[in-house]
Amino acid sequence: MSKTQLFSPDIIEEISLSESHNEGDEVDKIETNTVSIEDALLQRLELKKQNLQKKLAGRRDSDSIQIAPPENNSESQSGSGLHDRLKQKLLAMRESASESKLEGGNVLLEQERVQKGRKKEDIEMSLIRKPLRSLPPIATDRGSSKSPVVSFQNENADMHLNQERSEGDELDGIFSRNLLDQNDETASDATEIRDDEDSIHSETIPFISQEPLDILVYQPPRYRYAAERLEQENTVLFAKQGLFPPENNPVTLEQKQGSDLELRVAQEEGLYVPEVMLPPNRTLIAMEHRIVREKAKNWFGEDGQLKGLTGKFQTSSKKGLFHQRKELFSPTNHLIQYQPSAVFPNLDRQSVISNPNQTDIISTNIHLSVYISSLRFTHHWLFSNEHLLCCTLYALQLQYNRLKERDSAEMHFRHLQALRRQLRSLKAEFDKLMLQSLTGIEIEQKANDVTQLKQEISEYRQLRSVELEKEQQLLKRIFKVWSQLKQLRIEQGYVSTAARLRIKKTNVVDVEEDRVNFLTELEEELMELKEEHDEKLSGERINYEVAYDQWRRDQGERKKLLDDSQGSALSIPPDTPPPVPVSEFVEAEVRRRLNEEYLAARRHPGQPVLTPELYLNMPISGQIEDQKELSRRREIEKLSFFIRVRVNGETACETRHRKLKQDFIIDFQEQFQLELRHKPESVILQVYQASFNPALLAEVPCPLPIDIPVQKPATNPMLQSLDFTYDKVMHVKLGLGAGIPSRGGGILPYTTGVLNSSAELYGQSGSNCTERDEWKGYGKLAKLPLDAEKIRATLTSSRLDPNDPRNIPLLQLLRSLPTEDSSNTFRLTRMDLVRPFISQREFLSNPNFNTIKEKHQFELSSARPVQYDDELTMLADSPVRTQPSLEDIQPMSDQDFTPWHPGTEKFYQMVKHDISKQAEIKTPDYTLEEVVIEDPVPNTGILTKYIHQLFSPKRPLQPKRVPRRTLPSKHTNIRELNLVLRVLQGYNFPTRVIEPDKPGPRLGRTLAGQWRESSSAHVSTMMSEIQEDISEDDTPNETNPFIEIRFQGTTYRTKQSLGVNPCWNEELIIKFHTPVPTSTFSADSLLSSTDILYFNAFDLVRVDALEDERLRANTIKERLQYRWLGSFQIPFHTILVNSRVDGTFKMQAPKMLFGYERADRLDDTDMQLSMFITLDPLIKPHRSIYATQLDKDDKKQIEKFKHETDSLGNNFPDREYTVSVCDIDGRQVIVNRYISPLNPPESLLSQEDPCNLKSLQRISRFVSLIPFLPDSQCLEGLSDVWVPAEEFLKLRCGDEEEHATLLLNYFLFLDIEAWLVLGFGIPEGSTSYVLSRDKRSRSFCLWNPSNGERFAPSDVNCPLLHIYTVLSAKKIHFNIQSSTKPSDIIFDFSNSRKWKTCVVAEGIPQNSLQPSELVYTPPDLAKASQLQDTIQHRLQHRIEKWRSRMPTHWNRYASDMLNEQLIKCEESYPHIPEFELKQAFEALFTTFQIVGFPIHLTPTSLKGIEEQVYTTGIHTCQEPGVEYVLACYVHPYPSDVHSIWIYLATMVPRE
Amino acid sequence: MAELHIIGEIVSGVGFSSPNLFCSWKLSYGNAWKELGGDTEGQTHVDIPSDYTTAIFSHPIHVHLATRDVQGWPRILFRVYRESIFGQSELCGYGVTYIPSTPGMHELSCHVWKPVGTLLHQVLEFFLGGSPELVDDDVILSGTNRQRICTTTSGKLKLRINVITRNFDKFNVDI
Repeated sequence: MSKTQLFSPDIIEEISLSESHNEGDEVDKIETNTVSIEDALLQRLELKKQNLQKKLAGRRDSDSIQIAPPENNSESQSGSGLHDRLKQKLLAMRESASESKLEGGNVLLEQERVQKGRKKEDIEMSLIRKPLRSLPPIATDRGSSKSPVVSFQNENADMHLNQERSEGDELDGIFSRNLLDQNDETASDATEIRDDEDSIHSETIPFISQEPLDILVYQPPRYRYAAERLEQENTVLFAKQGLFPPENNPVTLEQKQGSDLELRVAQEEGLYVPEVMLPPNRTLIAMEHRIVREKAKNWFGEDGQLKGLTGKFQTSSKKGLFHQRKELFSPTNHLIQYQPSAVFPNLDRQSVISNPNQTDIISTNIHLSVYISSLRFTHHWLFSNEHLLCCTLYALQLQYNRLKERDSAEMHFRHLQALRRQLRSLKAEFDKLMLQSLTGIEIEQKANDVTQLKQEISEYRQLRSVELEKEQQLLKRIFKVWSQLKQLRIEQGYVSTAARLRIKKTNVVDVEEDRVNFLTELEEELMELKEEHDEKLSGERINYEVAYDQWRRDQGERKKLLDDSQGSALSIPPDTPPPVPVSEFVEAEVRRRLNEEYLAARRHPGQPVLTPELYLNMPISGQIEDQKELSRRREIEKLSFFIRVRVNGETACETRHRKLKQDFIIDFQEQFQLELRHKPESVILQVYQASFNPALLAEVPCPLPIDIPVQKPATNPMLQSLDFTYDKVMHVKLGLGAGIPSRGGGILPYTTGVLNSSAELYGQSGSNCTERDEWKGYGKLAKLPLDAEKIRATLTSSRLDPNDPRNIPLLQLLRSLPTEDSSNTFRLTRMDLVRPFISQREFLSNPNFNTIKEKHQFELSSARPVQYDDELTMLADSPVRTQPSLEDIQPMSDQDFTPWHPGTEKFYQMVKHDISKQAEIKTPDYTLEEVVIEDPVPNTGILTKYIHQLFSPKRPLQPKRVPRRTLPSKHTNIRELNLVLRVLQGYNFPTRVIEPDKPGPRLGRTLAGQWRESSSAHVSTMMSEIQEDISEDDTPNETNPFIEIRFQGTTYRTKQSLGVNPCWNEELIIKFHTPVPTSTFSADSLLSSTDILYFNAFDLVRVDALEDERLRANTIKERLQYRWLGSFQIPFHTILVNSRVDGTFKMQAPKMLFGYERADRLDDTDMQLSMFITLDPLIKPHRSIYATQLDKDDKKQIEKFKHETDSLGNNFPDREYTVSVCDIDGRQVIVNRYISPLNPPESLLSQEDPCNLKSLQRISRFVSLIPFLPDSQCLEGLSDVWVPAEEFLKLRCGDEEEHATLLLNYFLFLDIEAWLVLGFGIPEGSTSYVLSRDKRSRSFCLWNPSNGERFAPSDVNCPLLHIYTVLSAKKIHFNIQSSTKPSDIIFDFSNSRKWKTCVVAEGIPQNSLQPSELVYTPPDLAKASQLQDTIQHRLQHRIEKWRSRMPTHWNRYASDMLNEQLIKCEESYPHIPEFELKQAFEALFTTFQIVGFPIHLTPTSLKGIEEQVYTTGIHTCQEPGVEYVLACYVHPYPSDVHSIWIYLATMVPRE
Repeated sequence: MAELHIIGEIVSGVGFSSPNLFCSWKLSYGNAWKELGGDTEGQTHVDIPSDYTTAIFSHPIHVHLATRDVQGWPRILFRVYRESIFGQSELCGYGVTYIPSTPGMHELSCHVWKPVGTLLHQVLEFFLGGSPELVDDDVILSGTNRQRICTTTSGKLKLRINVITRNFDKFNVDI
C-alpha cells in the first residue's frame, strides 16, 4: 500500500475531515476489546455511524434521536494526541450535526443496536451480491477479521479508505490523485458539504440495485496538464500557505525603495566597498520578490541592493579536502602506482616490505615550474642616446600608467566630497543640538567629530593636490622626453628604437561645467581654509591677548626697574618685542594664491585631457649611413644571453642561448618543470652573457609563493618583472657604456634590465597541510611568533581605514586573532597534552630496559638462560671498551680446578658481545625443502628406480650407502636425535700375556681335564662339546676386545671380538639427551653441548671363580674382568659440525700395560679403531653470527684474495680456502697477521741444538699440553675466533688454530722452515696443522698441534686428510692440485701449477697481531704438587665411592713406587721406559697379579679426570682381596701449563 | 617506565576474493616508544587453504615495547598479498588497527581495503593482474591523504592479541 503525502499535514487534516462528510454507506463491525489504534478507528466509524443514524432518523421522521456520546468510552480509554485530533473532528461533526437540524428525539440504545444489526446485514448482503463498480484495489494489510474495512465509492473519485497501522501510529487515508479535483470543489463551507453529502447519499442508495452490466467501465488514465495543476497549486497553496510563486522578472528599484528614497552609492563617494557575496541571480530575484512582498525594506541597502556580508564567509575553506574523483585520475596524483604482478624471486618477500624505489617517488611530490618569458634591458652598455631617451620615456610612461590605474586623485576627490557631505550633516546636527541647548558629552563628542572630519578633509585635500600635481608633472616630462627623442631622430637621420608616443586628446564635453567644477573646488577649498583660519584665529587670539597682557606688564615692570636703578643694568630683563597679533584672513590673496597653484598643478578648465600612449611599433630604419651606428648594431647582434635556474644553490637548468635583438629584448619563452623533494629554499635566476666563458651579469632571486596548491593552477602563470643590475662599469666605444659619466653630465646608469618570469610550486607537501589556512595570506607576518595582544593593540591604535583595500588583510588578521575572552576558555594546548612520563634521556638510559635489550641480543644464539647480573649490565654499558682484556676479569672461584684460566668464559663472553655488536646477524636463506618436510610424490623417475631395485640382483655383501637427508636444525621440530655409530674394526690391539706360573683362565681347562678323566663315558661326549666351546671361546692368548662407548653417562658396548685386529662391524644407536630437558634440538643449543663421546676398548677376561673343585663337574663359576686397553674421545660438537665422522682413529693406549704386550713391536703402529659416526636425523647447524666488518688495514688485501679464492672455488667447490679470520674484536683480518716468530719457553729448548727433533717434540708437547677448548663451545653461533698467542697463553685454552699458530711461531723462532696448514682432519673437521721442513733432510713433516704428534706427509695414518691452504708469514698458497691428500701433495710452493700463490702486502707482517715477545711465568712447583694432591685425593675418594659395595684397599707401597715411575715417564716422554717399569714391579709380580696402566691425561677439569678414570672401568674389579694402586704426578710447565699423569692398577694377590 | 607486551597472532584472513594469501605486517609506534624485544615486522607464509574460504595464518606476534608516553600507541599495519596460480604476488589490500590498550585478550578484526586506481589500472589489473599500490605507507597510517584515494573492500584479517601492560599505573594512566 502506498502512502502519498502530497500536502502538508494540515491540508490532509482538512481533506480527511471533509472526506468524513462524504461517506455515505458504511460497514462496520465493532469489537469491544481493540487496541488503541483500533479504538481510534472505531471512534471514527462510530461517528460515521451516528451520521448515518441521524440521516436515517431524519428520513424516517422519527421524533427524537438521542445522540449518545460514544466518545466517552474512548476518551476514557486513551488520551493520546490522536484522540485529541479526533476530538476536534468530533466537535466539527457536532457542529455540522447541529446545523443539519437533526436534534431532539431519544432513541433507545436497544433500538439503535437493532437498527445497526439490521443495517449491517443488509450491507453485507449487498456487498456479497453486488461487486463494486470499478473497484480499486483494496489492500488489506492486516487482512484479519478484526479490522473493519470500509470502502465506499464516489461518482467522481475512487476513494478507498483502508485502516492501517502506519509506523508512526498515524492515521492516514489514501488519496488518489483525483481527490485533488474533488478537493477543489469541496470548500470548507459546511453547508455545501452537507448538500454534497446528501447528493452522494441519494446517489449511492441505488447503488445497491445497479445493473451488473455496468460493473466494468473503462476509465482513461487521468491526467492533468502541468500548467493547470500549477495554477491550482498557486491559487490553493501559495495563497493559503503564504508562499510566493517564483517570478522571473527582476524587481524594479521602485518596488524596492518606493518612490521617496534617493539612492546613495558608496563607491561613487570614493569609499571602498568590499565585494558583497550574493546568491546566484535567480535566487536573488526570488529573494527580492519575497522581500518586496513582505515589505521588509530594511533588507535593502542605500544603494538599492540587497545587503550582504562582505568578504569571505569563512576565513578558511572547509571544502579544501574534498577532492574530485577526477583529480584522482589526474597525472599529478602520485599516491597510487600500478604494480604489475610479479613473481618474487627466492620466496624472499622482504623486498615487499621496504621498496627503496617507492620511497623515492613519494618524496618528489613538489613540482617547481619555472617559466622564463623574456628579458628586457632597461640600460645596456651598447645603448645609444636614442635608446637612453627611449628607456626614460618607457619608464615614465609606465609610471604614468600606474598612476592612472590607481587614479588616486579621483579617489581622493570622491572621498573628499563624501567627507564634506558628512561634515555638512554633522554640522546641521550640531547646530540642532546647540539650539536645543543640550549640554554634556553628546555635544562635546559631536564637536570632536567635526574637528576630526575637518582635519581629515584638509588631509585629503592636500593629498589630492599632490597627486594632481604629480600627474601633471609626469605628463610634462613625458612630452619633454618625447620631443627630445623626436629631435634626436631628426638630427641623426635614422631611427633605432621602436618607441612612438601618441598623445590622445580628449576634448571636454561641457566646458562650462568643467570651469564650474574647477571653481567650486577652488571655492570650497577657500572656504575650508578660511574656516580653518578662523578657528585658528579664535584659538590664538586668546593666546595673543594673554601674551600681550603679559608683555605689557613686563614692559611696565621693566620701565619701573629702569627708573629705579639707573646705573646698574644687571637685573634688567632684556627688551622683548611685543607679540605679533594673528594676521587676518585675506580672502583675495588666498584666492589668488590658490588659483595660481591650481593652474600650475592642474589641468586648466576647458582644456582637453591629454593622455600619452606609448607604442613600440616604430619601424627601425635599416638603411643608414652612420658607420658607428651600423657597427653598434652589429655588435648587438653578436651578444647572446642565457638564463640559468638555480634551486637551493644548485644549478637546475638553463635556457638556450638567445641573441640580443636591436630592441634589447630577448624572448626566451621557456618553461622548466622540476620535481623536488622539499619546498625549495631559494630559486635564483642567473643572467649570463653567453660566451666561451659565460659572464654572470646578475642574480635575481625569484619570489616563491608561500602556500603550495595541491594541483597545478590551470590559469597561465602570473609573470613577475624582476629587476636586475649588472654593476660593472663598461667603457664601450660603440655604445654609451654603463656606469660612466655621460657626455651631457651626470652618470650613466649601470646595465639594468627586467626579467619577466614566473615560478610556481604545486604538488602535495606534508607540511602544507599542517599550516594554518588563515595565516597564509600574511607572508612573513604569519611566520613571526605572534603576540596576539600586541598586534591587537598596534592595529587598533593605528586606526586603520577600513575603507582602504590595502588594509583588508590586516583587518582580517585582526579579526582572526584570538580575542581576549578566549584566553580564559579552557583549551587543550599541545604542551599540556604532551607530558611524557619521563624524559627522553632517562628513558634511553634506563638500565632495566637496556638489560632486557641485551638479553634479547644475547639470546640470538643460545637457548640457555643468560644471567642478568649487574656485572653483565655493566659490561654491556661500559662506554669505551675497545678490546676485551684479561685484566678486567677476576677469577671466579678456586673451588674447582680448571686447566684454563678461570676468566676464560667471561673473556669469551665479552668477545662474543663485541663481535655480535659489530657483526651481521644472518639468518640463512631457507629453501622450501628445509622448512617443509614432505615425502616426495613418487614420480616416474623414483618409481623406475624402485622397479629397477626390485629386479636387480641382490648383493647383501655389497650394501649401498643411502645418503641421509640434512636438516637445518633451526626450524625443524626434531623429536629425538640419535647418534648412529658403526664400529668397524680395530687394529694393533695388544695381546694378552699368559703368565706361566699362574694361568688364571687356563685353570678351568686343566680342571676340566681332570674332571673328565674321572667321569663316566656317557657324559663325556656332551662334555667334550662343552670343552670344545670353551676352548674356542677362550683362546687364552688372544684378547677378547670390545668397544664400550660412554656418552652422557650412558654406556653402550659392542659384542666382543677376537684377536689383535678385531672386527665388529656393529651399529650402535646412541640417544642424545638435550642439556636442558625442555629445550628443543636447536642448532645453537646443540652446539653449546659439551658432551664428549668416550670410546674405550676393553678386553673381556673370564676368570674362573669356582673355589670348590668338587663342584666343577656340574658347576661353572666364572667372573668377567674388563681390562682396559685404550681409549679415545670425540667431542659431540665435532660430530655435529662435521655431521659425519668417518675414519680410522688412533686410540690412546697406555704405552705399557701390565699383562699385555704388543703383537707388533713396531713403535709407530698404534692401536687404532675405524668407525663411522653420524647423526640421525642429520642436522646441519648454521652459524648465525658472521663477522663481516673488514679490518681497514687489510680490507684491500682481503677483498683481493677473496676474489682469487672465489675464482678458484669455481674449479674446486669442495675446498675451503681461508684468507681471513675473525679476530677477537670481531673484524676480519688476514691470517698472515697471526704468523710471526715467538719465543718458546727457555726451559724447553735443549742447550746444544735447539733445532733438534727432541727439542721440537718438547715444544710441540708443550703446545699440546695447553688445554683444548673448541670455539663453538664458548662462542655459540660464532665462527672461529683466532686468539693471539699472548691471550691464548693467558687463557690457557684454545682451538686448533691457536695451538697451530703458536707452534708455528715457535718453529719460526727457531728458524725452522714452517707453514701453517689449513685443511680437513679427523676427528675435528676443519683444522690447522703445522708443516715443517727439516733443515738437513729437507723432508716435510706435519705436526698435529693439539696432541703434539708428528707425521710424515706420506703417512697413511695421518689424521689430516685434506690440505687446502698453506700459509707462511708473507704468502698464501692455495692448493690447486687435483688431490688434497697430504700423501699425494707435492709441497713445492714455487710450482704455480700446483699452488696458487698470493703474496701479502709488505705492511702486513709488520702489522702482526702477535706480540713481539712472550713472557712466561716460571713453572710453579708448589702449585703442581698441590694439584697433584688434590687429584689423588679426589680420585681415591671417587673410586671408593664407585666401589661402595665393597671395601677398597690402597696399596701405598706400590703407589709410591709408581709415582717415581711416572716422573720418569714424564721425563722420557714420548717414550715410556717400559722396561724400567717392569723391573720395578718385578718383585710384586710374584705375589700379585697386576693389571694397570699409566694415563697421560689431556688437560681437563677435575670432573673430566674423574670421568676418564671412570671409563677405564678399573673400579669394577671384584676379585677378592684386590688392592688398588693410584699414583698421580703433575709436572709443571711454564705459564701454568701442567702435564698430568695418573697410574692406576689393581693388584690381586696370587694364591 | 611503562611497558607493553603484545603477544598474539594473525589468525586468519576472511572474505578475500582469493584465499591464497599472505600478509606482511609491521608495528608502527610513536617516538616515545622503544622496542625491547621481539620482531616488529614480519611476514606470514602463503596459505593455500583447501576449503577455499579462509586463509589461516596463525602467525605469531610477540613484541615487547617500552614507552614513556601514551602518545603514538602502537598500531599494526598490514599488507595482504595474493598469490596467483602462476606464483605471482599482487596486493590484496591494506589494513591498520590499533593495538588494544586494555590488558587482556582481544579478538580483533582488521578490515582490509585496496586502492581502486585509475581506469587504466583497472584494465591492467583485469587483464594482467597486479594492482595499484600506495606509493607511501603513510597514507595508511596518517589519513591526511586518505580522502584522495578511492578504495574497495578486500576482506578482513582476524587477530587475536593479548596485551600485557606494566607500570602504566605508576604514571597515572588507567588502562
